[in-house]
Amino acid sequence: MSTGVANGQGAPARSHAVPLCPSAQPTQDGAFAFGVVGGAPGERRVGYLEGRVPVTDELLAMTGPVKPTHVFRFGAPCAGSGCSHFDGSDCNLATKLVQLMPPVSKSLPACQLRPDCRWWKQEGKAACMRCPVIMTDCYTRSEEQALAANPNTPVPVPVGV
Amino acid sequence: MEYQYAPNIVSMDGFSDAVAASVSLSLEEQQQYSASSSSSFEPTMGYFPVEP
Ligand code: SF4
Repeated sequence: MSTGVANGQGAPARSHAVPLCPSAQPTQDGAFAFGVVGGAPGERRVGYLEGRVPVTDELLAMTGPVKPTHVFRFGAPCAGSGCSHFDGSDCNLATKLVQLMPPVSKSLPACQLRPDCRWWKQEGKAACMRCPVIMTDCYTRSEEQALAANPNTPVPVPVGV
Repeated sequence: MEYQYAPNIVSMDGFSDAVAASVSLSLEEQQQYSASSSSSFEPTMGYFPVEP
């Protein structure tokens, strides 16, 4: 099977009927990599790929001893009620990350997932302005990130409501 | 930390290098993490399957 990795090609964005989760697991059906976590130790930042790279054994092998979710951001169709963050209509993880974490970027990342991204559809620009610091798995989470990541953390009530 | 970052684009030509750099950063962080064993478990930030 061609991965598009060896020949340096990523697939262009295509529109999906089901919104895509922008922090998925590579084991999910239809998963692909759209970001690589770069930056510096303790200051990791996602670099957004020019294309979507399908998950294959070859891709996963590239991370060697490191868990692929430490290295890549994967997209995959949203699992809906199969995910602890979904409340029946919204992704509470997206709500919490926007409410709990400060924005890190003024400009929107050139992100291949955007046409289908659940976080973007739900929270708009505010999600994208925080997205570069989201690592699916890592060793160094800020307190706010850890709170947002935990499905048991209640969704904060917006100020003034 | 607010607004300090201009998002990066990773070209497909630079894909393998970006992955290799990311892997070594992760290994470095893993070592630091093991050295400071007081760190607590960090939950996955993303798809979190519902318990059956
Ligand atoms: S939140 Fe924005 S930048 Fe992040 S994956 Fe979704 S569309 Fe891309």
